[in-house]
Amino acid sequence: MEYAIEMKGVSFSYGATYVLEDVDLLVKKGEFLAILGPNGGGKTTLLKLILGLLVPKKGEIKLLGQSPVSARHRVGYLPQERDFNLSFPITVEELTRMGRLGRVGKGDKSKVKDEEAVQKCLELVGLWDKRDWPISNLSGGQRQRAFIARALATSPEILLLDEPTSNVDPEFQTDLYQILAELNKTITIVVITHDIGVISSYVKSVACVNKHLTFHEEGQITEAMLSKAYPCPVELVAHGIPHRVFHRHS
Amino acid sequence: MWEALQFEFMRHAVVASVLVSILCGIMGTYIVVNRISFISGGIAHAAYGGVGASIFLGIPIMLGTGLFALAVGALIAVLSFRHKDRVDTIIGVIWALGMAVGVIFLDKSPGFKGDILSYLFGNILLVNRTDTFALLAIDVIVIILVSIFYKEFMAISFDREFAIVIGIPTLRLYILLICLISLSIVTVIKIVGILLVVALLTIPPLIAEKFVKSLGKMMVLSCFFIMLFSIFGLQISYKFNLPAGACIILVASLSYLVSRFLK
Repeated sequence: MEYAIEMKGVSFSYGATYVLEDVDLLVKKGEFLAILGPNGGGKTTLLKLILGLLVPKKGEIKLLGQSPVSARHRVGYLPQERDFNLSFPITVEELTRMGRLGRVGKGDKSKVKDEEAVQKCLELVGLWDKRDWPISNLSGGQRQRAFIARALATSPEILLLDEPTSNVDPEFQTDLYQILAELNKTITIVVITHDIGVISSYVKSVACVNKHLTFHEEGQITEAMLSKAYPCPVELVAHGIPHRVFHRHS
Repeated sequence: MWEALQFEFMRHAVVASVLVSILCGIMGTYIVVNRISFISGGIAHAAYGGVGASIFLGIPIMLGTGLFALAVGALIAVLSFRHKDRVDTIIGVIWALGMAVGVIFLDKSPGFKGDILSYLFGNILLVNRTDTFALLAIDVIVIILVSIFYKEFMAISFDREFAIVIGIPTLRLYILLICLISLSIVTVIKIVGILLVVALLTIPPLIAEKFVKSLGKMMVLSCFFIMLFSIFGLQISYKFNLPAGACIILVASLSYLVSRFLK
């Protein structure tokens, strides 16, 4: 069977020390995978490798059965970096339409189709009535919704989301995962997140990344998994409540 | 001002400032939203090497400098694309290297070297008929290319990584964008000179940015501002017998300060 994402023995380093070492990961089509792990544990690097934005030092990566570079336009990507020029004069609608550029929807490219897709995505994230707003006028949460709309506008077969709920109002957190669960009926989703409590009820599998990757077939997150992924004890809290990390008490 | 228009050089100067305004309004906007005024400064100063080389080789100065600036622009585009975290150092080196090359070429050029100062500080009153036609041609080229690649340029300016992922030929378009910026820099050198060029390219879009919410409108408003500043600067320069380039920049800078207080 063809996997959405295949990684075999992948290692990567920016300098001398490895950020990721000997990572194996098979993501089936239709999967809903959550990637957990501490900051600096290599989660974002992992996504960038999958997208071919970084090249592994060792190992092999396939995206939809092809090389990452030739298949990445079939992926909807939500970057984590917020290093954007926020005074950039661009409206919510223009930002979303950006998702329709490039090799997206090849062979099925018409102005009408593009407009339909843009409207649909903006309605889905609840920003259609704010489509004429410049992004500089949006709150952090609204801006995040706009970026998610842009990722969706690429009509992706896989969605890669890097911390989609950071800087977002808690309301949208639940909304977002419900939207993702709905989208997951047709597309594969990989999400980097710290929302350990919330995602449990939505995801199908979990991968913990901290230089090494541990894959868990089931969506249930246990204390044992977390203690392996995070260098410090992490408290597992019930649904909807952000987790807290305590220092070890003496 | 209008009495001044009886002089041919003054008429050329006014036509040239209108044509330059269109070019700078468009490319200056890209410089501001891409946050690459340092890259632009690098290209402008390195272009001095082109001035020196043109005089040394005895080829038309604007042509030689233009080609030199295009080459430097393409080089900077590739290097800054590949080594994002080293951009400032790389540009600093090219900046100084270009100027050093220019100084050496000029030193080795025999005879009359033209008015070197006019390349450092510009002299819009030296613009002739051929220059205005060259300017017109560059305006047309830039307008056509920017209309074709408007959305793509917007995408790579806003979020380069996303542009790469969705399959926009990002590096090639980035090189094209920097080359168009190089072209506009060389034409502005004639007006305000190497040392002041970045100010004229970036101040008007910076003011415009506060009043608009789309890239296209920012370009149009910037064009309008540059026209205003140039004509007004020329007028002051004519009235008080001061250097034109410096007057234009003075007007632009003061306007920026005023706009900061207003909004």
